[in-house]
Amino acid sequence: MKISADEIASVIQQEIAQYESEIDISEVGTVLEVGDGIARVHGLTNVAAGEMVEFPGGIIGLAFNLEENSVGVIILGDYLKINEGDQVKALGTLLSVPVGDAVVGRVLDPLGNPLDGKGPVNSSETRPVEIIAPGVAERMPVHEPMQTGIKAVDAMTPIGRGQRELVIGDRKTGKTAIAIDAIINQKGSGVKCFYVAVGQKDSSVAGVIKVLEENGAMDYTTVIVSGASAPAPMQYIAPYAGTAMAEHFMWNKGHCLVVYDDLSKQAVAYRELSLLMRRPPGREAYPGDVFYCHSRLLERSSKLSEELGGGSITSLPIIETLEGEVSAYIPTNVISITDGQIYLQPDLFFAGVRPAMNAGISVSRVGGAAQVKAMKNVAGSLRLDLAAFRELEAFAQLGTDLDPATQARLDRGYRMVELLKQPQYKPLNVVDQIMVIYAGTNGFIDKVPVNEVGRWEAEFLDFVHGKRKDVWDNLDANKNNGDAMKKADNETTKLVREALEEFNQSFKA
Amino acid sequence: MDQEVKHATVFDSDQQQLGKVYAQALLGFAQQAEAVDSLIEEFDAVVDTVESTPQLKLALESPRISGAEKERLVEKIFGGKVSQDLVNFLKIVGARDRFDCLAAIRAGAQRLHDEMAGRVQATLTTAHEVDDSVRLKLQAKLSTVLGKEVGLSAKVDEAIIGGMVVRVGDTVYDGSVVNQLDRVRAKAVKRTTDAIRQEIGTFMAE
Repeated sequence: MKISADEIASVIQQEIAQYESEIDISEVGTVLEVGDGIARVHGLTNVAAGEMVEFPGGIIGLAFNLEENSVGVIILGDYLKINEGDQVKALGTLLSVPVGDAVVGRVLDPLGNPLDGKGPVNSSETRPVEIIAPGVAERMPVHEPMQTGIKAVDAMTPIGRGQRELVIGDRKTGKTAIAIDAIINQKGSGVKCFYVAVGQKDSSVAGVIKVLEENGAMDYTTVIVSGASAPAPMQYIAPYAGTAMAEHFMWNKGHCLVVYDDLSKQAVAYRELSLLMRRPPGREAYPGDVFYCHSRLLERSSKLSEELGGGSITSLPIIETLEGEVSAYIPTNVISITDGQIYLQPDLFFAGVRPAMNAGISVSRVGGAAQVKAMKNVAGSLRLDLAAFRELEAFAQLGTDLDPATQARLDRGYRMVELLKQPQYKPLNVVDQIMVIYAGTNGFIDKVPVNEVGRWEAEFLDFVHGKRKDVWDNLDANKNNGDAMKKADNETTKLVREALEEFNQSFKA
Repeated sequence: MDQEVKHATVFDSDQQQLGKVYAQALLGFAQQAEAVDSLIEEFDAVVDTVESTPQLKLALESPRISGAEKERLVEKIFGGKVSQDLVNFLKIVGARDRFDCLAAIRAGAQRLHDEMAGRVQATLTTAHEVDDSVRLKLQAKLSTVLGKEVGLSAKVDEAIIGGMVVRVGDTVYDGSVVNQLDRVRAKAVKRTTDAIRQEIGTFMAE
């Protein structure tokens, strides 16, 4: 492709001809000191908090601290190029990022600059990074499901569109894996996904992008990266930037899924900034407004009312705990802000239960209303049953002889745990999930040896997708019917039971 | 701003704050004595003397010399040469060991003085020396626009190529050629990229 220079020259010529000289009036200040991503500026008398300022060389900053004699500015760019005595200009605008279809499938930094080498982001639209979240009148209750494709999550802690579900756990417990599976499962559903990587190793982010590409998820996903080597200001604004990009789709009747991976690192970046700005430290040296930092971010995930188009942003914030300490400052804050949490436990993870979700303390406060009806009927008591099983299991370890009823409950429990295991990057359709969970809770796999449950599941799913596609289609059509899978005499339930019996006859353990 | 504190490397906001308080006291006293202008002028001269005599400055700022000693020193050097009121003020500054804030006090006093007199300081930057007539005209124009008496100081900076830049307080009125060129460039780049984005076809060469 060749581009003609004459055409470009003519456009520039027009521009020069139309140029009207006017005097540029601006507010300025002088850099007093600079370092660690922040600058202290003297002057800028009328600058507003959060306003953009420009350093020489076009480096952008944000007015962060307004003090009596100086202004603290966080620098979004290379602060090593700024010197003491440089002139700083107030721009009179707020920070904004490019939005629209052009950002989909891209890997961007928090300012919207491309990092994937696929050329500039061709977008004429922008949105401010920091906005006030929609108010009560602009919202409606969460009612549509956001399927993650993970059996344990969709059955026990269902997530609705517009919900904020926290994924919390120690390092290396599969937090990111849950989020990635959820993104992969959005394929074909029209949900736009945003993966915001804050303070992570660039190698891990590259790994995530590769997985998304291999699973065809980059077609509808935007990755916003502010890695561990990025200055603290960039890490601090990355989640807001990602949300701004998602909001564009939400306000245009679309649905989005935003993953913040992870907010503990963002809080650390914010702490760094605040301490450098000499804001007084509070608990764990975090500034007093670290709660607001997260609440104003997560409040922007919402389900808009019908009048506003009914768009939504669902968010999956991730928090990393240290040694399972959920009562630390940041985890408790984010737990209280979100509409539920998925708690991942290291001992379950190492015992091979993956996803390593602890069913006892994982909850979804609003997702129940959004759950597929048939799934609700099937999995309604699953959480409590599993919790009862864990209790019984601890008791059984004492080695006492058990009565047959207790033994049967234990056996059912072992099989349910086995059934809820799921390999990575293999999200399941909700209809498949309903059938296998129904089979588990209704004793159809009681005769299958525990170590064969995985094979049974795979072969059964093959069977209903092939031989008994009619059953599958029937359940798919009736899954939102309140009676489906509830009573044994329901038409759909009958069909599923029939298929299960038919398959079990042919299944050889 | 020209009268801004000349800070060596570090901007000390505590010093600024203290300077403001002392300046307020000095001006309040001068107002009562009805000798604001003369006192400010004398104070200016004193600060210049101290700043231009590093040894004296070191002695006055040294924490190892006691307040009483500093009072004696002030009396010996300035006594009789400037008004007794100013000497008293300097003695207080010495007794309280605040000679390190002297520059900040001067800046604060000048700003307060200007404020009281309804005056602002402006800096004019041009690429070449300008005639006094132009300066006077500009000064008059600025005074009418700002509604205040304007003190104009001129500076030459060839980097702006042409036109002029006027700075009043923190506000900059930039009519320089270099700024205009920058803006033309930014606009042309934006227009061209927008045009290319919208209709790449028209830009294709055969």
